[in-house]
Amino acid sequence: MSNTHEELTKSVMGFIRSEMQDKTVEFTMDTPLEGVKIDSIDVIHVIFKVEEEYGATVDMAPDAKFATVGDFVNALIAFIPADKKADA
Amino acid sequence: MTPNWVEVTGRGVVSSAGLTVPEFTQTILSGQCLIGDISDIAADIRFTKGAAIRNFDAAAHFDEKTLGVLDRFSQFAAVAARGALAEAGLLEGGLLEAGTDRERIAVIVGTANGGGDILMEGYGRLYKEDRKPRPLTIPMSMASAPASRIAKELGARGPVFGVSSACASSNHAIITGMMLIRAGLIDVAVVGGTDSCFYESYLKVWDVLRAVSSETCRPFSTGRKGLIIGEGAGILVLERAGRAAARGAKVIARLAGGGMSSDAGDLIAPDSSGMARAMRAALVDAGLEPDAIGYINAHGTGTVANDRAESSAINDVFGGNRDKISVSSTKSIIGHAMGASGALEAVATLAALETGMIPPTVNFISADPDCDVDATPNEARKRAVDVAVSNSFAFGGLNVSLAFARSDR
Repeated sequence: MSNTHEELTKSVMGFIRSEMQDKTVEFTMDTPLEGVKIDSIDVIHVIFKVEEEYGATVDMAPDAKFATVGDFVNALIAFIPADKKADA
Repeated sequence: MTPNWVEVTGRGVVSSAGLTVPEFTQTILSGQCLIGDISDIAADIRFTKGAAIRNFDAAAHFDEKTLGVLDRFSQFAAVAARGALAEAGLLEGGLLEAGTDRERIAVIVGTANGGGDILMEGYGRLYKEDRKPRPLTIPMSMASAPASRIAKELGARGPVFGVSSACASSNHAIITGMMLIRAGLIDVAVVGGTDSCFYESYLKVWDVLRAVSSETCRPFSTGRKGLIIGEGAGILVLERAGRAAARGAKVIARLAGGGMSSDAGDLIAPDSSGMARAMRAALVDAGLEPDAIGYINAHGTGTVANDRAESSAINDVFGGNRDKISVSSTKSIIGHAMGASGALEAVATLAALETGMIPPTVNFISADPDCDVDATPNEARKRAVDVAVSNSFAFGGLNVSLAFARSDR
């Protein structure tokens, strides 16, 4: 099944929300990543969910640095195989 | 008391005999046996009995996110540590009280198995479901995970590590904490052991070793057919001598000394000379003569070979005082909790010192002539004891004996 970039973005942001300590905190793609307060374990879980959901192999260190949520989300989406992307 | 004795100020347990020390003490003195049916966990093996903990509600102790990073053996240890630290009066709002130097507290927790539950789940996902193991399988299963978790909860920033020596893991952890205190490196040691044992593959690998009893556990008795698997955690708080009094805390007992030895021999078969050397070393370390000892909480697995070898070792070390020493095996009540067994049995030993009642060896039919010890058959016995020894003798020939003394000694 193919997904648009918008659908993938929404999905990965959902993975991030599911790992947040405080799930009521609102965030957007422009929110600084440190603002959503996820730790190294949470990042590993988010990467793992992307791999399981989309059959991706994410070559990313758990301590990789990203300025914003959007930078992190787009870096993950880049690892999703082309056949899962509608607009690839 | 001699200057190198350390104080025991806290105890915590997670066990089939109870999730609190008062419940545990009452149960082991009552003559009950917690061994029950475990055939729902593994089928097609030679044994159907074990002492599994069925009433541990992890969700009552940890939030969902924390549970996601803690395997069952770490959960046991953390809950037991909370109980021990609470009894020691070292907690304020779940953290170390302000008077404790965080860099002078050690956390040392033994485990024989490590995080077997999560490892086995990972292998199941990998080989049965063709899925990846969970991403945190490594940090959840590592043998140091329980110590790390306790340190994190406390904010303890001194020496923190796991130790592993199969069934002697707890006692190696306890003796290491004692030595660090004596060396002046720390003031407080949170020590003990933990293991989770009731997952299918673990029971199946014990089955093929043929060491588990096909019925129940009868240490030192005729008709004994092997050990029975248990699980749980035991944690003690140790403090340097005088520290408890200075802060107005109660001393439960003293850890007078400990002895370690290795058989350097058979991987599985016990060696009574190695056992005897550990007990002698504990007495020498404590500055005590054999006639000071009134009770021995035996390793007492219930295998033919262990109990014969341990009885021989006890008679070798204490022969002249044999009739003045009670012996019993807590494993007859709560099974063999592997890396947790030493710490749980230390709590049983402290119960004997505190109450003046010797916990029994249950399921006892009649004395085995090859086991010439007073094994306290089936019923607790009143006996005031000043000093007691607790033995742990592991596969691989790794032996540790601890000598505990009453607080007024």
